[in-house]
Amino acid sequence: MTAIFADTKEGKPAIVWEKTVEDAIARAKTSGKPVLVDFYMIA
Amino acid sequence: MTYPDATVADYISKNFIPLQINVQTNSEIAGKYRVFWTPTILVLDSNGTGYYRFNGFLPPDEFIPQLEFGLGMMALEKQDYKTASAHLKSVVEKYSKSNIAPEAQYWFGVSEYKAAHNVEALLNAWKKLRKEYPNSIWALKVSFVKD
Repeated sequence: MTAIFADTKEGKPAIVWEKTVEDAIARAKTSGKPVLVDFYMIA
Repeated sequence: MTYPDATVADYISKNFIPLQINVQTNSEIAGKYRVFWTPTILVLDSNGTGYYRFNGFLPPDEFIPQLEFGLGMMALEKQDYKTASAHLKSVVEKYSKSNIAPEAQYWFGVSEYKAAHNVEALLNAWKKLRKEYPNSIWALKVSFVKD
C-alpha cells in the first residue's frame, strides 16, 4: 500500500489516515464511527 | 488503485476513522491484532476490538462491499440487528455482483431471524440466496431449505 494523497486532482480531499491506534480510537469514541485499520508493509 | 479512487475515499471518510499501520515498524500492534500478512484490513469498534478482517488487494467495486459487509457483521455480533440488516441488505442491493454478496444475503437472513425470531424472514432470505446465487457456497450451506 502506498502512502497518503493529500488532495486529488479535482481538489477533493482523499483519505486522511490517523497515525496511531490511540488517536484513531479517540476519534472513534467522539465521532461514533468504527476504525478501519490498513496493515501494510513497504516492499 | 483502490485508495485514490474517489468513491472509495468518500466511503471510508464517511463511515470510518481510517488508520494505517506499517507492520515493519509497529510489530507489537500487528501482533496484538494477530496480523501475519499484508495487506490486512481490520474493522475495530471504538474500544479497539476487532470484528471483521480480510486480506489481499481488492478493486473498488469489491473493496467497498467488503467494508459494508464488515460493518454489518460487526453490528450483528453486537446484536444491533437493525443496523446489521441495513448494511447487509445494502451490500446485496448495491453490490449484487460482488463476491461478498452471497454471504451478505446469508447473514441478512440470520440478522432478520435473530431480530424477532422470524423464521419466515430467515427462510425467505435463504431462498433468495439460492435463487440469486445458486453456484455460491452460501447457497450450498442452505441447500436443505425447501422451496
